[in-house]
Amino acid sequence: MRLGFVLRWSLRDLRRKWLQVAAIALVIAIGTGVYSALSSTATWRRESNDASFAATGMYDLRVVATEGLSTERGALLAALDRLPDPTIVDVAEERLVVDTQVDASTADETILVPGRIVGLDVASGPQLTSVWVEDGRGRTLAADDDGRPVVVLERNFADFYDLGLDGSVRTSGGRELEVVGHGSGPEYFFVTTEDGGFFAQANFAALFTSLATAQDLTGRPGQVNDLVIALRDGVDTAAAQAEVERAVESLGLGTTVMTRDDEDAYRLLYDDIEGDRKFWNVLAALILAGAAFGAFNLSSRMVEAQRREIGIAMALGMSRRQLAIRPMLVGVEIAVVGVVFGVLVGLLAIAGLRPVYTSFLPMPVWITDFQPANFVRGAALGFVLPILATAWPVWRAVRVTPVDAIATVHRSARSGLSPLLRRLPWPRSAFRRMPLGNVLRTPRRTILTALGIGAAVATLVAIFGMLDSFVATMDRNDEHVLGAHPDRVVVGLQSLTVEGDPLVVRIEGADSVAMSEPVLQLGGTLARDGGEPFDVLIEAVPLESEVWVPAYAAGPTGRGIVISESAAGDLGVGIGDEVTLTHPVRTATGIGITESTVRVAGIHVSPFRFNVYLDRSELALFGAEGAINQLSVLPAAGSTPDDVERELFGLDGVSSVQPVAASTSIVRDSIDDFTAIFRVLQLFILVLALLIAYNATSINADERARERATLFAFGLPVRRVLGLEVVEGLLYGLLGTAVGVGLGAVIVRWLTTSVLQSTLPDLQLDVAVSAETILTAVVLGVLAVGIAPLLTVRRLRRMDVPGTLRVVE
Amino acid sequence: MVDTSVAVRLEGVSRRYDVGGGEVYALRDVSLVIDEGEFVVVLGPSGSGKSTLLNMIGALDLPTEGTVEVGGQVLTETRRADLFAFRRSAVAFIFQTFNLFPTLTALENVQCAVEISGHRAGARERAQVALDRVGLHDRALHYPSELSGGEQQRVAIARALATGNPVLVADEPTGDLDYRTGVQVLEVLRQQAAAGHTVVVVTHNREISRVADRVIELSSGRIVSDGPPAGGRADVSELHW
Repeated sequence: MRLGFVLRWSLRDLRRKWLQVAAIALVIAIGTGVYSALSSTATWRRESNDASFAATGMYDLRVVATEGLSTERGALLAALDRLPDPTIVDVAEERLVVDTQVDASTADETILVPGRIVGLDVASGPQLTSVWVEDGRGRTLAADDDGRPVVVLERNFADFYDLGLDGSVRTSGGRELEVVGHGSGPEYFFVTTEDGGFFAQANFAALFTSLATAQDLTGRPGQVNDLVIALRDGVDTAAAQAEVERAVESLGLGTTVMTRDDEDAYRLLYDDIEGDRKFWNVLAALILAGAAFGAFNLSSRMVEAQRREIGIAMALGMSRRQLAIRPMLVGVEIAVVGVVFGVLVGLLAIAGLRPVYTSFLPMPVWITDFQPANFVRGAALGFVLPILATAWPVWRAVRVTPVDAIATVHRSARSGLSPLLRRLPWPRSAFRRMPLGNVLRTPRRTILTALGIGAAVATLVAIFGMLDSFVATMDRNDEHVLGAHPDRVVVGLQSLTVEGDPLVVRIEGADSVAMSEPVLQLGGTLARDGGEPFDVLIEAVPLESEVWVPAYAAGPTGRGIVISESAAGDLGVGIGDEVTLTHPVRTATGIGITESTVRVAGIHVSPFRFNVYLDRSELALFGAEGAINQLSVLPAAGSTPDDVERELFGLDGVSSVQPVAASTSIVRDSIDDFTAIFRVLQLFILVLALLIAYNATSINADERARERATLFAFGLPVRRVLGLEVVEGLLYGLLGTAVGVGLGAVIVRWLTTSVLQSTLPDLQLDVAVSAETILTAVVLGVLAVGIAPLLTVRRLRRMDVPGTLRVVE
Repeated sequence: MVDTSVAVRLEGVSRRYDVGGGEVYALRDVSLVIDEGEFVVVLGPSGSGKSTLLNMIGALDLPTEGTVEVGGQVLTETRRADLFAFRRSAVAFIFQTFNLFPTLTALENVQCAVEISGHRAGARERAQVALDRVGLHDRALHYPSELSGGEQQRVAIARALATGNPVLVADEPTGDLDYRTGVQVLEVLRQQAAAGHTVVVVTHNREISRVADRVIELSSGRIVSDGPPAGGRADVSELHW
């Protein structure tokens, strides 16, 4: 047969089935488009990081003086002249960076946090570590701000507290500074705690200001304590670091020379990409797989509906190759349209994801361009699948004898599982039994329809269930952290002290404080039997206290440490087992690091693996009996956490006063930012699921065209025929939804316990599929599928009954 | 040794179906020989195995026992892939339910079959001629859904004629036709036989069997009679139904 003839024929097929072709193509498009967008996020982040750090002049080397020391302006720069080859330095600028306390309270809220004044050379710079302020968020620093009491407030902090642009802040000493903008520098794109922990923006405010203003605020006129350096291209950073260390040594500032990799914000922003990439790739693949299975199912069934025509062609002697061409062309058409639509969906997904990223990680440059290579990977599958899907029914059709393929009634002639119906006493009416009979009569078609609907529902349950799991996990964290006293306040001390110290006594005796308990917080690692250790945050607290105790999953029994469920799982230990804790210890000569074998006394419910608690009676382990660097306090009757903040924040030796509710809130906010991507995906998944479900039903209805015509021939009105099909649709929907919810729950479990476990090992997610998610799945899977036949009412009303009865469909 | 004058040979052919745990025979131990150029009518009531016999000759189905040989080719020993080539070049089928392709016009349905049978050059003209022969010249560009049942049947007949394949098998070719059209169709089939094609027609209409060279009667899957029509062969114009 001539190709032109076949092409013309195929185009007619396309015209006849354009709606189904378009809908299946859209299913592929959503799969490939979302896949390409999601799998592009790692590239976006890497390119955006590079561009943003370049745009704001991230340093290559940074010279930091020991806290409290500074030198005359120009001294640090002059030290660079002592380098063996001073030309290795491209740009260098001095700064004054001093920790402070910041009062950003508003009329409604007390906001007292530790902070940092970052004084920059605004008169002739800064060329390095400049302050980026997004349009609409005020302005950055200008040359004429030199010496003026104006600051740019760190944006993540401002966002967390919803601070306006018209306010001011105060620093230690009560100096009021006008906030001219909310901005960020390369060291603050991602705000971390001193020890590199996440979610620090609730409790840390950086203030960017001019060098002269910083000197004035800190009482260090003409002084600097920080030097940032950009090296000439091609210069070896490690070698330069060593040379700069030698050059500044003689200044007597106890300087440390850092590389950009030593900067937490920089390192974490890049490190985080890899973990994220794995997770989003898995999710992208899941959505693509759901769409691919749906498209495979639908394409194959669409061609299956032409099986009789394949039989006729076989009877005419058409070769297998020729037989395959026409249905394969349908597959190619679906694939081509799907790929074209996929580009559009990809661009739409990018448009949806971009604001999520720019809000989650505000940086001056966000490159969220279309990634052709990723798209091609997704599109390759999207292209091949429909072709395979159409080849499959052809292969099946040519395996049977033509007489079987042609037989109009070959399906109905076999009873499938219909004999089961005989055992059902209800419904008695043969007419009313038809829908159930149809479902049972053709098990293969029923399974395919249910699987098609199930694929859509499973993808939906998986994505929605991930959100549920995050929410459930955060609820668990709240329960653990807030305990019986959600108004608890944590008071951080600037240095290590001991119980009974005047500062501690003063805090305990504050008017706004009803009760307090001492806390010693230390870093360490936990391991077992020489296994891979992981970082932990050890808190020595009274484990029998009215202020706060961990929420236990098991124990506590006897002496020892209390670890999280995920730590216990990772270490393979239970109560009574021993683990190796590496921790600081006070020695006669200072602070050292040692390993201790400790017993597991209890398991707490915190989702964070790194939380380790032990009773203060065991502080001898650290050689730190009575040591304290935090207090956990409860407000007195009639006092609020704000009152505690106001009363304690100004005390010398207090570094921070933060309600625990704020810390859980920042965790929740950060998780919300992370899961905002899921919310973008939800829309696509909903459309995807609807399309698959509708198509599955629509193809099913097409396969029943002759039966419908027969019912009309017997005088059944349209509404009765529709009623039968709605009932049948509901049965398919029920089956598909049951399959989808079950499969979705399995996928959620796999994602949370396996995939996320490897990408976010410190977070143990709950596996949760909420009632709302199941309800959404049921509404989509059962109701949407059930009412799908109603959309064909117009076609039914206009059906050429004799023609349909006569012509082979 | 292959006898070249034999168009169709069936030896001990049975076709068994497994239905509901039991066995049903559509054909049982059927043996027959049909010569080239013979016009054979297979008669029998519904369920007698007529269509099954036709499916065997047309290689649409294979027997569970026995051998089928058509045009010198033993179908029961032929690979499935070669059966495609056999159907393409050896037989032409006229289906009771027409089996036209709904998205092709009458002309294209015929043209399609011509091209499949390997006559690509002039396929359209050949198809047009075949449609003319069955009186559908003015309906060539209509789709099956725009044709009456009788017209669809005639397209199906034109499709079979146009292939020019030596064995033509027809399942109730006049079943949906009025007398006048039915006579036209039988005339065409007779002309095919006269031109040396073997024609096997299945029908339950005994009147039609009068124009055949030979009438084979089936009952419950067995041949109960085989011979020339009672009263001798009649001319198509003498038929009445």
